[in-house]
Parts: sequence; structure tokens; C-alpha cells
Amino acid sequence: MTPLYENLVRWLPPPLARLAMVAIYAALIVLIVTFLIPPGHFELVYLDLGR
Amino acid sequence: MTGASTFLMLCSLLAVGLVWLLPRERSLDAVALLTLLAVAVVSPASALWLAGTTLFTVLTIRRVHSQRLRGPAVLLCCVILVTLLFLSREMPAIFWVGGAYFTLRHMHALIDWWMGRLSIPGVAEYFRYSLFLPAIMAGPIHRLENFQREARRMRVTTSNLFTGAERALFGLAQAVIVSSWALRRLRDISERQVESWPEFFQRWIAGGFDWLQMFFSFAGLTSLALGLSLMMGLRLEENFNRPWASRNLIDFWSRWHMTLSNWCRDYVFYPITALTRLPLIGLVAAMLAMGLWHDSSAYYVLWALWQSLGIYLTHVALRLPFDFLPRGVKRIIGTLSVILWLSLTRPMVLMTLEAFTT
Repeated sequence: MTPLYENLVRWLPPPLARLAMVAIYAALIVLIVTFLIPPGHFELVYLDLGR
Repeated sequence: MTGASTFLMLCSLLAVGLVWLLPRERSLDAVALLTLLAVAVVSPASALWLAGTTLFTVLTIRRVHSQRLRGPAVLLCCVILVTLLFLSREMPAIFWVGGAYFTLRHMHALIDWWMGRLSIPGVAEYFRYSLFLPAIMAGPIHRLENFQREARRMRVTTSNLFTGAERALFGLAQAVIVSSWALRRLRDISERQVESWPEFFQRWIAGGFDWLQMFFSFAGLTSLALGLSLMMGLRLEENFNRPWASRNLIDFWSRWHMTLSNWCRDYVFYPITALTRLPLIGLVAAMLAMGLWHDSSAYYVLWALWQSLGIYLTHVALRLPFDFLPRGVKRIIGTLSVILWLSLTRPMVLMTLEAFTT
């Protein structure tokens, strides 16, 4: 049980909660991959890379 | 994200695989080796620096037996570590990775050993702590004793694997989708809208976006690191504790980048306050350490002075008799003052810098 599933199962029956969880994961992965290609820069002082 | 950070992230996933495949007692050794190789691929100079300072720190701890010599040895080591960090910044042609984080980890280990708060670690044990891939490029500045405890427990379970993977995914989404994409576009739009405004207000808006983007990027990358660590069965220290819910600026600095704030509190603020008996000097020194850790520039010196002034004024305001105000109103005023002070950092610092340079 992940924290997301624990939250979803409060509002939805378990099969729908599982489906919603998979849909959220898939949407996030698609968006992340979309925005990672081409790779952009984080203009971030905390990311200790190349400085 | 840069190609290098994507590569290090993928290597961290490989490290999770190693932890699951190898026997428990050898898995973190393999992660340390993978860390060194991954950093060497991205930046051979950083790999040399990381391995060299790790060996140097642990050998100092293990070889200096005399209690009398501990102080001078720690002082010398800290001077060398800080000098190396500042020298690396003078060589922008070299692509450096993680120096600011591992320098503070080594200094923590050295000072805690000097103070007798740390038992002497083994060489392999210290290498496992120092060469932990998920925490290399964006922290947290985790402590040795917590890492040792977690490494002993090391709960490699499916529950931790899925919970950690979910946290890593949400963290990456926060950094990539919210900060790097959505907020950047929103910032571009707002900057175009305010082009005709006075420069001070333009910078004020940019200052607000700075903090928002920093929060989503950095908290996201920290979640990624903590999620990956949890997938390996290790719980590292948290870096954020709902900073948006801060009641005042003092509260904010105990909720924002907590591992760095705690480091500056323990190793700069407390010792300097104890030596001088002047908490204000300790505060300015701690904020200067925090500012210069970000970047060695006049901007961050003034940044530190601005934050010190904010904390000092908060102390003064807390002593004023505001008891007649309802608790909710005090809370709202406190939160608004934090937002105002932080967003004003950029315009005020730049304005002061310009006043000095012209």
C-alpha cells in the first residue's frame, strides 16, 4: 500500500483506486519524459552539478 | 535536467537494483563503487576529489589517537576541505559534482568525532556513507550516525520499494513538470507583463518566482533522493517541513533545507555564540556560512546579511506586546511577513550591490 493508494482507497472502491493510481503514475511518467526530452537546465543553486 | 543529472539518476536506479540483487552485507559496498564510477564518468576530477577527501577524512579520524591533537587536526582538515571547495569554484572550466554537499558531510564527521559525539567509523563504513549516489547531487546533508543506524536496519521490503518509488516519481514530477516547465512558463509570461514597470518591482516579482521555483525544484529533487534511498531500505533525513506554513522567518529557516540549516546551527551558530557570548554574531556567521555555501559571491554575502536582519527583526517583533491580536490574525501576519521578506531578498540585495558598485 503506497501513500497515494491509501488516500485513493478512502474515496474509491479498491479496484477503481488501483485504476486511478495506475492512471496517475502513467500520466506523470508521460509528462516527465516529455519535458525531459530535450533536457533543459535547472537554474538551481542547490543542484550541485557543473559549478 | 541536464544529461549528467539524468545519467546520475539512472545510475541511482541501477543502485536500487544492486541492493535488491546482492547480499545485504555487500550491497552498500557495491553502491559506493557504482557511485564512484558514475561520478567519474560525469566528472573525473570530482570523483578524485570525493574519493580523496573521503579517505583523508576517515584516516584522520582513525589515525589521530591523542585527544590533545584532535582539535588542531580537525581545524587543519576543515581548512583544507573548505579551501578545496572554494578552489573548485575558481575553476569553472571543470564540471564539478557534489562538492558542496560532501564537504559539509566530512566536516560534520570530523567535528562530531572531535567533540566525542561520534564513534570511530571503519574505512569501508565511511566510504559507504560518503559515496551514496542518491544524495550526491542535491543532498540531503545526512549525518553519519543516522546513516550507520539505517544501514544496520536496512529494510529492503516491497512496501519500502513501492513507497519509495512513488515518492521518487512525485519528486521528479514536482521538479520537472511544476518547476522546470509550468513555473518557468508562468515566469516568462509575468516578466513580459511587467516589462514597463519600475526595475525594483520587476525584480520583486522575479524574487517571488525564485523562491517558488527553488522550492518545487529542490524539494522535488530531495524527494527523488529520499525516495530512491527508501527503495534501498534506508530512511535519510528530511529537508523540508512544509515551509509555506511558517509562522515567522525563524520558523521558516527551521523548515527550509533543514539539513543545511541544522548543519549551520550545530557547527557555526552554537560554537561562535558560545565563544563570543553574542548570539547576533553567531547568527550572522551561520547565515554567511549558508550564503557562501550556495556561491562565493558578494550577492550571497548580502543575501546572508539580509536574512540575518530578517531573523533579528523577527526576534524583536516577537517581544512586542501583540497579545491583543487574535491568534489567526497573528498567524496570517507572520506568514505574510515571511513571503514579503523572502521575495524582497533579490531586489534589496541587487539594489545594495548596485549602490556599492556605482
